[in-house]
Amino acid sequence: MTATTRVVFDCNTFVQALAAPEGPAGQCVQLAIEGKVSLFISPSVLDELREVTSRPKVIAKLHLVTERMEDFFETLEIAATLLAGFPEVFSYQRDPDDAHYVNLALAADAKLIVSRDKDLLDLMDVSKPEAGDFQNRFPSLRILNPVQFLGEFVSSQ
Amino acid sequence: MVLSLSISAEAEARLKAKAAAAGVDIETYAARHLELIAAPPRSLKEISGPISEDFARSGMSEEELSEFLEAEKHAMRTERREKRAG
Repeated sequence: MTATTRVVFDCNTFVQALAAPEGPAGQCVQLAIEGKVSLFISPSVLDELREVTSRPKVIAKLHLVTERMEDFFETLEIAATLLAGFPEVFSYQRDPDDAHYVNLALAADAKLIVSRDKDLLDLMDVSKPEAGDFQNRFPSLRILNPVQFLGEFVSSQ
Repeated sequence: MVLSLSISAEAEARLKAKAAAAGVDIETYAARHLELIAAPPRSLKEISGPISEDFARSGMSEEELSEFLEAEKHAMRTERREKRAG
């Protein structure tokens, strides 16, 4: 992986990174901030991130502070390339909102999505019926959890 | 250094809205972002500050955090769909 490796992170990868910067998700986001991989985001991803981090239970559990959150958003907007208005090539009945991450990756020509979302990760599990069709349609796109992504990053260096 | 830049009307409108939300004028907002783009990459730990310190003290594992966040994300998505459906 290099600075030209295009990646998409799902919204909870960002939230988890903020809470635990030294954990796997945190290290993934730090790589993007340092420009070691090329991160793509969309207004919908930022909206979802804002909505999750505005939930009272999330604010209370993670002790989120508005000033730090705005700092984080600003950093992401600078580190990432923002894409908007791309086509919805893929739809996903199991969780329709997850399809946006796949469509963003396709629009960005990214080959990797990083997520801990089971619905997304199951698209890589050939024992699941939805995975076969997905992998036939998008053979070069992979969905990894943060630990897998870091493992691949380290072994590529 | 003083820069004179041409941007689209759409970008100008978005920048104005963002500057207003941040409580500054568009020149200050744009200059601050240019400074940030030119600055060395920041540490996520520094940005997170007390948030990560509190999380470390909480004793919650990464797995527990992930499960909690996934549950909240899916609850948010369900509420959003219900709201859209009226």
